Amino acid sequence: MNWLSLIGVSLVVLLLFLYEWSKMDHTQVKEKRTFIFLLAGVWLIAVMLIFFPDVSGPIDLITFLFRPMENFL
Amino acid sequence: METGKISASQMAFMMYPVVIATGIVIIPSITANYAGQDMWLSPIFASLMGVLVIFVALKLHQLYPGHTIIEYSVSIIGKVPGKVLGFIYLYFYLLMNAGGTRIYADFVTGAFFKETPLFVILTTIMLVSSFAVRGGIEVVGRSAEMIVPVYVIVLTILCILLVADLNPKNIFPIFPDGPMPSLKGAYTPQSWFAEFFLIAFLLPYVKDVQKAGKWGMISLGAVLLGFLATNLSLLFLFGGELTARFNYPLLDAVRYISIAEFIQHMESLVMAIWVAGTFVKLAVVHFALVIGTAQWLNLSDYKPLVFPLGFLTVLVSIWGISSEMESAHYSGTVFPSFSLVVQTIIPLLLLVIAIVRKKNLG
Repeated sequence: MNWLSLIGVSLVVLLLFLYEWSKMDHTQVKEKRTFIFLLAGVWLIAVMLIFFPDVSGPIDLITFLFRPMENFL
Repeated sequence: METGKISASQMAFMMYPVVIATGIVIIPSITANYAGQDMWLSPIFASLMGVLVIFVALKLHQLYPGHTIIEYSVSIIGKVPGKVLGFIYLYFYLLMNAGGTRIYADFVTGAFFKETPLFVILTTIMLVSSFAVRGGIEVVGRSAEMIVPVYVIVLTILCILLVADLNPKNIFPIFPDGPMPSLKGAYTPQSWFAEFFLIAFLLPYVKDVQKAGKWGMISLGAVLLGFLATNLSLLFLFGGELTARFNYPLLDAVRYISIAEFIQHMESLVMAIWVAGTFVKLAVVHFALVIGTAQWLNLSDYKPLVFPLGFLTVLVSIWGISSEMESAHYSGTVFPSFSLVVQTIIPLLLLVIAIVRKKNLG
């Protein structure tokens, strides 16, 4: 099941890449770099979440930071 | 970067579902939990926050016309602190949209598609919204203009159909324990009203910007009316205590509608406007996130970022939140504090610093 999800996520990332890459022209170097970086990052996060779904995320950070406010309510 | 323009009225249509779409379904029960039968007063207090943030966003835009907050935060507090602040805003809107997507998906899987995996619901709505954002702000504005009137009409019809079952006596006594419970109940909705600060990302693309204040207030008034109508209907139907026990009280109220055993199963209408409204909401917030990111990185085009960031939003919405309980806790108590800091206090400070700086210069 995990490996199937991995293939699925990779396929989605590949499709996004193919869809967007053909639309950028060769002068947009910085845009291309950002796009690749973001897509690779998103793919890595997705793969990480498939195999370790309980990793603390960005929302946990905020929950941790704003916990003291709860006592006030 | 974005060459499209919207009108001030389109901005109002875009902002309405940003607040109402997720708010109307989960907020009444959170408010009722704190405020009991004073739950109808809470949105009135909370809307003052909306007035404040609209004022701040407009003032800031007057000082730096044609710029979004990502750009003028650099002009106001300097390059490095400005970029750090910009990052906080992007982080906030990423989390806000992830939270919105999650509320939507929890609702749809919890109430209708019980067997469908969560990620299917999450990705499909995000994909549609991403396509709208990729089409530019005009596409988002026009879809809002098309969907929101239907949304308002359906919501009004639903409230009218409930009238026969309402018991207005539930409102009494008013203020049984003083005004504190209703103020506490306003804490969660204030963060939804503060989402009006999103106009800080839309104002540079508004054609008739001098009308933006008026239309912003109209939108705010419509949102307040929407919250008042639902909170009062729920209060009159269930009373404060029972409303607090439902996860999605509006849905349960609408399931209750049965006129001559003929007009029934209106929850399908709730579902329909819910999906359409969430689509607009996610598209507007996603637009702000994407255009903000492109400006933060000084890119010439924001379109390549739309799908990767949409994917990231979906991931964040499941990252570290395993259950609906946890997600509801985050939206109800953690997010309002985060919003208070990012959408209200920081912009106010920015405005003060900007005014002082402009005075010193001239």
